[in-house]
Amino acid sequence: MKKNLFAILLMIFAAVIAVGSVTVLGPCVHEDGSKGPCADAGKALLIDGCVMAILAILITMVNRRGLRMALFAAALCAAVIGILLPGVLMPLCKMDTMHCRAVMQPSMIILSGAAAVSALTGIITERSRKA
Amino acid sequence: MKRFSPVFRNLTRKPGRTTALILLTAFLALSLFAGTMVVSSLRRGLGSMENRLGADIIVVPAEAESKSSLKNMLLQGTIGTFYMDASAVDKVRETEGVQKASAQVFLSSMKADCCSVKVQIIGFDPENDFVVKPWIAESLNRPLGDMEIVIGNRVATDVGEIFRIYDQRCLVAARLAATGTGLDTAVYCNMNTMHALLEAAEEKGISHKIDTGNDAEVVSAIYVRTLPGADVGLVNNRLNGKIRKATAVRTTGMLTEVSDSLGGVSRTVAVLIAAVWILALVILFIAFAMMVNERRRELAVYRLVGMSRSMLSGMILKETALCSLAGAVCGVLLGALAVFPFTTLIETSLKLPYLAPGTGTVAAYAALAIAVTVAAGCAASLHTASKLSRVDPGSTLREGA
Amino acid sequence: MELRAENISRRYFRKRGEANFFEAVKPGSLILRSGEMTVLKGRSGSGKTTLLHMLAGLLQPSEGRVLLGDTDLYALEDNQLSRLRNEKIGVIPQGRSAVDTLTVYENIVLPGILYGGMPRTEAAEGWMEALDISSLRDAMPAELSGGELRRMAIARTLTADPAVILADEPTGDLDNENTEIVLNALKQAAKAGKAVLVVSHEDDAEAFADRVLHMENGNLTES
Repeated sequence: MKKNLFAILLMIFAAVIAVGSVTVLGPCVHEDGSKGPCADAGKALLIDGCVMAILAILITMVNRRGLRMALFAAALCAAVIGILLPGVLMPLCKMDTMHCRAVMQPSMIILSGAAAVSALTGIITERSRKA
Repeated sequence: MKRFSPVFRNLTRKPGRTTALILLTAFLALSLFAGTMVVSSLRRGLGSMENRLGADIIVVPAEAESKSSLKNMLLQGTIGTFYMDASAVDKVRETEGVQKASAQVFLSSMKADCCSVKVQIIGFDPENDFVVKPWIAESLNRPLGDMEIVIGNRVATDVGEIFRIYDQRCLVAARLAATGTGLDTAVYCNMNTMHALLEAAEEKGISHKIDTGNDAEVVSAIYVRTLPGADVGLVNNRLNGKIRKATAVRTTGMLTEVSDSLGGVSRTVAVLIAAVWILALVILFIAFAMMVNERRRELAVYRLVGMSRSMLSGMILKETALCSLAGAVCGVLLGALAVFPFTTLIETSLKLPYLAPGTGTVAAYAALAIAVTVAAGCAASLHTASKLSRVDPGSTLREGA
Repeated sequence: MELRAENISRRYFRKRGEANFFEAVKPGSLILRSGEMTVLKGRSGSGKTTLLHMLAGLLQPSEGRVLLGDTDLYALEDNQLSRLRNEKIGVIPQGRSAVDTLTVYENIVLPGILYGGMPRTEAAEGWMEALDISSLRDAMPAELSGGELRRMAIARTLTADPAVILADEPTGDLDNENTEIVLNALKQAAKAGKAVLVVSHEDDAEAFADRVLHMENGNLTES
């Protein structure tokens, strides 16, 4: 449990990103049911969250220090992508009051940031762990 | 071996106790900081709305459910499109007690024009305007040209880009400073541009004609400033009597309503903060009181080896202060993370003008929240500290010997 | 340096506000001289510990004074008395007397660092060795047995190098071998010029004593 603490934290954040991106923290849906330009960013976040979750699960399953560090590093990259996805790498709607800008973007940045910190701490603890 | 601090040893070797203290104080600081941020943002929003309104009376078409429709537009950016005959402007100007009158025309963009959302377009008359121009002057130091627009702070387009409205290409000339009101999601243009846009809208089948049947010019709202010393209520009544199919609304009434709701929200936030504080302080106090028994023996040993009463109280206060400081900093950071990224969400949920304070003010509030939390933590432990320092080491060490 | 008790007594009221009291320690005088190991014997409840606490500056006598050299302990302010106790009086109390958040070593050097001094590492290691607790240097008090805790408290007092040592049943939890080690250590301290008082209800200590006192029903007598 203690050994996998940061992998579990990462898994939780990744799961919230993935589930959130298709529910309350997702892109805008207009009254007429049509989707805004932020819909693609939402899809990308879903994929990114799933990738991070899978990486986290893999980390809990392997024991080799080098491999665990590599997986954490990959998760860190995915988390950084998660921070940049809404608004920087992919466009959002053009009004700050839209759901994608008011809710999706800030919460995804915070969650991805938290995931990045977990992954980074994971790398640091793996480094200091005796092989 | 180097010197060591018993205070740090006590904190690091009782991680459960330390974590609980940090969590409790973080809770205190979080509620205080986030709460005061929300309330001060609301106050600033109201102030900014007062500044931006700039008029004493607003005349709008009667069928526009005048007051609430305009209020919603100002507060939430709900799109308002209502029209009346432009001849009303002259009638307003001729009314006794009126110093200035300036008309605005409202139009809504189609959703597709601006990628994702309808935008309120506000046309103003540069010659007579006293409402929008001073505000625009803060961001644009030249008159607004034809087919140029100024965008509200929350419209996510950049200056210099082309903004298409009803297939008309408009150049974004400037971005306005944030007001925390619905005006942040509007775009502004002069009357020539507005006429071109109205025609383009007409071609797309969106009518703004009023049912007089003729092609008379239309306006949506007339902003009125009364003569200095004039009785605004009286002028308002005169306008209501004189202009048919229109309603004159006093802006103070609207502001009072907003200020009342703001008062309500402030009270709710204050009650919430008070509840959190009372709860957390009671828990803190109980936790410290329990600590008295847990640590009696340990502190008797400190007395035995020569620690004075004041040193002992100092040690407990130092432990508490360190924990509270750590907790308060965490709490303020968490509060900032909860409040600042979600400014828009808070504003749209509260339906009130909301404008986050400047960095200096935020820093001051953060420092204040930290100071108050540390002081509260220390105050809660004060009783315990003094009680423990009065422990009689002799009899304590005899107990259960 | 000698510790002198002049006509001290301690009364406890049975019920608040009433004249119904008992004297735990009846008026008596006592001198602890440097270089001398004094053993105070008596049955449980005879007032030995009360007397020791009065001598240590931990319990104000109802009457009389306690002088360390020329200083009247109970005429001092709390911070002066505390400092004096830290520097000059070492107390080994009955029962557990450990700070649970400090290691054995840290507990032993604690008196030395309270007023900003450096830990007396060499002395601490020497006494840990002498009292056979070197292997417990980094252990936490919770991991120690009663006897080990007692030896830790003795090492703490000896490491602080006070002028007066007051030990309350220092051999209570110890087996024969360790009892001898501890009493030897206290005897050595007395030989090194300290005034040592050992309170005990057992006979073991008597063999090491330069002087033996008796306590019975609060009355102090010298044999």
